[in-house]
Amino acid sequence: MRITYNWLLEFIDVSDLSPFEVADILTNIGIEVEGVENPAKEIEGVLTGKILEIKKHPNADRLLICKVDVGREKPLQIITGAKNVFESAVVPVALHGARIKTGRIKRTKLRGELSEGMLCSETELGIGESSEGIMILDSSVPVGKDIKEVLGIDDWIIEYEITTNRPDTLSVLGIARELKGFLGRKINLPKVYEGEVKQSEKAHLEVQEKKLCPRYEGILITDIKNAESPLKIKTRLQMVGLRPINAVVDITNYVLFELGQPMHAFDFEKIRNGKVIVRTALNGEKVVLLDGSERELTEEDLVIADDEKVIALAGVMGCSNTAVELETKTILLESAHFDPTTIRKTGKRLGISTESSYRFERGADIEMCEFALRRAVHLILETVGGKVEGKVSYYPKKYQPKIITFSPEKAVKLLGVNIPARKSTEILANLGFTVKKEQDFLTVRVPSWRKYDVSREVDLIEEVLRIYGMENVKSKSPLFESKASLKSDFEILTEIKEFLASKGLNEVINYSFVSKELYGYFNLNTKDLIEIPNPLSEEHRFMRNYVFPSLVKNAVENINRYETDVSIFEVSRVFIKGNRILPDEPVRLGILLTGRTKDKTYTKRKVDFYDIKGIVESVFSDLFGVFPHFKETSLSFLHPKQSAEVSLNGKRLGFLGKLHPDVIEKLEVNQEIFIAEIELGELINLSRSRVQIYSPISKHPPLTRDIAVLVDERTKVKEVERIIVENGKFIESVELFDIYSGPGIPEGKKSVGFSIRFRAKDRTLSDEEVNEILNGIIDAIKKAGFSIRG
Amino acid sequence: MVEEVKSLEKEFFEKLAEVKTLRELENLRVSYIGRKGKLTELLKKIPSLPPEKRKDFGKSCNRLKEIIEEELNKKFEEFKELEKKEKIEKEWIDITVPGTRTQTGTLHVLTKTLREIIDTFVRMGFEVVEGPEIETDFYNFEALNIPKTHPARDMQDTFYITEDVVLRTHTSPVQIRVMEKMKPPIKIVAPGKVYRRDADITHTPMFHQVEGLVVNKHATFAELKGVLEMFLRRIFGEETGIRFRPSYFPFTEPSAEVDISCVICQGKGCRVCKGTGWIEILGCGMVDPAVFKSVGINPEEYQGFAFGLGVERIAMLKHRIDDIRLFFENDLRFLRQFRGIL
Repeated sequence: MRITYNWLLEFIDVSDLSPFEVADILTNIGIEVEGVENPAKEIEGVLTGKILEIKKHPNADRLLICKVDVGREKPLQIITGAKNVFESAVVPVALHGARIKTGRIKRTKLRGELSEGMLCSETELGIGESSEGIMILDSSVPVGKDIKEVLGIDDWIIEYEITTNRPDTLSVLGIARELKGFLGRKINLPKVYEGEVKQSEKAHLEVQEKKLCPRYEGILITDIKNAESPLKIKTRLQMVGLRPINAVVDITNYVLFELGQPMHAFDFEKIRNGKVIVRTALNGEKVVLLDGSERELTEEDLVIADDEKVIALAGVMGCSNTAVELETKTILLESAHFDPTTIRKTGKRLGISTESSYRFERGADIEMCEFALRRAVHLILETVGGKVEGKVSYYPKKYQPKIITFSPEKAVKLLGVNIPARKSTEILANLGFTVKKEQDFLTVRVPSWRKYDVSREVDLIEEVLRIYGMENVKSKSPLFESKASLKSDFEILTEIKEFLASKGLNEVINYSFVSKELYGYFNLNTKDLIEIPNPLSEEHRFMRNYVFPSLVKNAVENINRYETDVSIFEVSRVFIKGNRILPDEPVRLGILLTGRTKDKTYTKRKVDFYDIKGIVESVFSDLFGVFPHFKETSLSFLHPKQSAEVSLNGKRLGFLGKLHPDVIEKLEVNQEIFIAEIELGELINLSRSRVQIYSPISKHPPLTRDIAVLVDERTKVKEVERIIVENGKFIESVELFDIYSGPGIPEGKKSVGFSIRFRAKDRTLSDEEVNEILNGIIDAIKKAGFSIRG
Repeated sequence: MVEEVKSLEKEFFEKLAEVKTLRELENLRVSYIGRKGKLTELLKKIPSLPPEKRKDFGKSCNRLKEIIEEELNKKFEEFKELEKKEKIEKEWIDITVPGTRTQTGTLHVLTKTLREIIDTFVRMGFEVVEGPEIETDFYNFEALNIPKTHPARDMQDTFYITEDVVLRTHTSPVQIRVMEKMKPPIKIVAPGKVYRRDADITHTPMFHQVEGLVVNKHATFAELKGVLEMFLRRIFGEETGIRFRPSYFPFTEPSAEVDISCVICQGKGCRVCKGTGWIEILGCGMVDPAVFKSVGINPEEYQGFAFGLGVERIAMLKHRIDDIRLFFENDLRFLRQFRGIL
């Protein structure tokens, strides 16, 4: 939203404050000013001039040579390429040395002819969008005047953003009221038409939707001579971002910006039988709006209609069938009040937002309708003449101000600062509230323009606080009741992330979104996923139920950027559709390894299955002190011979393995990728109550025996280890130290070496005793069909 | 005979001077005082000498033996020292070769930022809680005083799953869930992912927020200022300028936005702060009585404050990251820049 500083001065005298000081005040009381800019700052040395004579350029078909009177002794010769110039036209002239938006102007020769300056377009002066031709000024404008004065562009545009609860500040008056609240100065209301207006004889109003249109005011003006707007109105509209159209239309917009009341003007002669009906649209009813677009309406839309057709989409935009044009002679000015929700719904459904709908949907001031109407009438009569024929009016239920009880102590208790009751009263009064002092509280009447956001005592406390100044509230250290809480999942997860990073992995964070295409690489179906009906793109259509596909995407993207060694992890929630309204959101850990990993200090080797398994084991045992169980699994996206399911206490907690060669082929990468995905939330829950119980340490020395077992190539090491553990006493540990196949070992076999450590708690074991145990183990191994080597 | 001893001594010293290795030294020892050594042979001659000469001769022989032993020992120690030095010298390695350690990894810069934020509040006695990322319309909007027709719904473009289920647009619904479950006094922070239908250089459809809520019988706006000033100075430094500005949120009243002095230009005015010298960093306010009512807390008895902040925004300001999308592209060259797990 924009207003200008000079415009504001007409409503409240703040001329002792610079536009920047005004901006600071506004920001501090809750109207966030985003910019203060003088559009004429860069304009210098541009005067008004009258074209006396136009000749063709002898050497260029497209150029014209103009003789221009700029109030100096001799007229200047200026060359232009514009086609809209004519003799006697008054135009802006940039003299030699002048500055305009596009740069400095110098005397120069164009195709051999001298040009002593330049004729300017609107954009070159920093107003409006029209760079089509030279700006033509009213013929009454005297020559030799500074263009900035003539156009009124030596002003400051104050651009601000409002919060949705303050539609009352969407006008010059609204901002003036805010300043009054802070400064306590008086408001100067603009001139309005004060004559008596009797009931119109030609126009007839019928409000069918009394709830959706609680007020409708209209005045009929005949015999106008519509024209272009005066410069002041045009320039101001351009500065606040509107395009001037014609005087009547511009004045409705001008008043809208001044007073915040949206208005509309109809060409009355195009309204059939002079009938103005406020009704809802028929389903499927079609209209052509002022912007030329055709729209289909529903019975939820509120419209203004005559006997046979819709003439305006109420509070949003008029229809082209009754548009006011330069030829229009009779107008009906509308100043009404519409239901915010209805306007909002219509605007939203049709995707239209106008200055009018923007204000109505947030809430306009019902008490402003008539004043604004009379303001517009005054400006119209002043500008294009005409006669006030009469009015139509509908306002059955007058505004009843809400009365709120306000206790200054309550404000003190909530804010923690001692604002004297006298100060609160003053602030509220300056903001337009009517305050009456009762015994130990105040009764406060809410002005009509604040009825939307002020209805409770706490709303008044906010008013007092924002004007009193948040910076004047002295900060206090909080008084807290202490309560010792458990370490949260968030904190534990952070520690897990720290651990994984220290294991050499880079943490990534992906969007929760996945696409059908991504899941396709892994033969995963998206039909079990939560679907977003309005995604930003197909890439973001589904909420993921696995983390690893996103990691694979990260890896492929990095590989394509020549980063081929990728070790990454992500901890994130995933979304599992269930029977309840909301899905389950378990926390998962995803890990991905590909390329090479550090071997020695500076050498690298290819990662393999055991690297990713090692990391998963570390998470379980190093972090949580528990040992997971791994068993073969078949998942379509994993290599059937290099994948495993991970479980704890019989509960499946995830999987890991090499991506299936088919997946790798589809991904078009030239390297193996290993992934793991673990239910971390479950793991945290399982280990929250785990306490390690101390087992006494033996004072006696251990004895160690190594054995090598010859087994089939595909015999699992774990199986041999189990036989050892189950068939020996006093075993403290069994450590795998060698897996060997090659010379000396029969084809299809391998040798696995274990180091077994024996120890008793209460005595020193003898060699004989241990040898006997070892023999028992060896017998068991042989019974299982394996042999002992060496 | 005594001359013989003397010449032997002279000869020994000449030979000793020529010794270059431990082996030669051993040979020298053997050839003089070994079982068949020259001095040993001389000593063997004692019994064949006349008795009056025996004493003198024996003395000078024994003296020479002591000298030789001492000299040999000295030399031996010298060689030992030398050998040790040589061994050490040979053990030279290139200390500029990287040390042996496992591969180095990194935490995501958002994790580090979030950890610092949460840590600060935990030190102030806040408890960390989390809520679901997919929420009902009730928790995300209605209970927070944002009814269906409220214009504030335009403030946040929402991903709807169904009419009643949304990807949460802020962490504020956690406030509601906490107040439904816990009795005051409450002081919690709730970090998490949130979603809005928006994408450009400063917006991503998913980002992180931290919500804070304090409810008791005496929490004031002055305390809210105290908590947030303490927090912001810890994150951005003691010198940081802080400004509270009135604003509007449907679930707080009064509401404020908090600005910090621009971290880029120190408040002088630059592109990042749009020339104002201030940067908006979080929103806050006193819990609206309507919110208390929706969770069954009596607003006449309890009062409280709440705040919400964007993690990406803080990380961007702290680390001068100029495009929010970088956080989620997971380019290793970006991730590796934020070294140091602590």
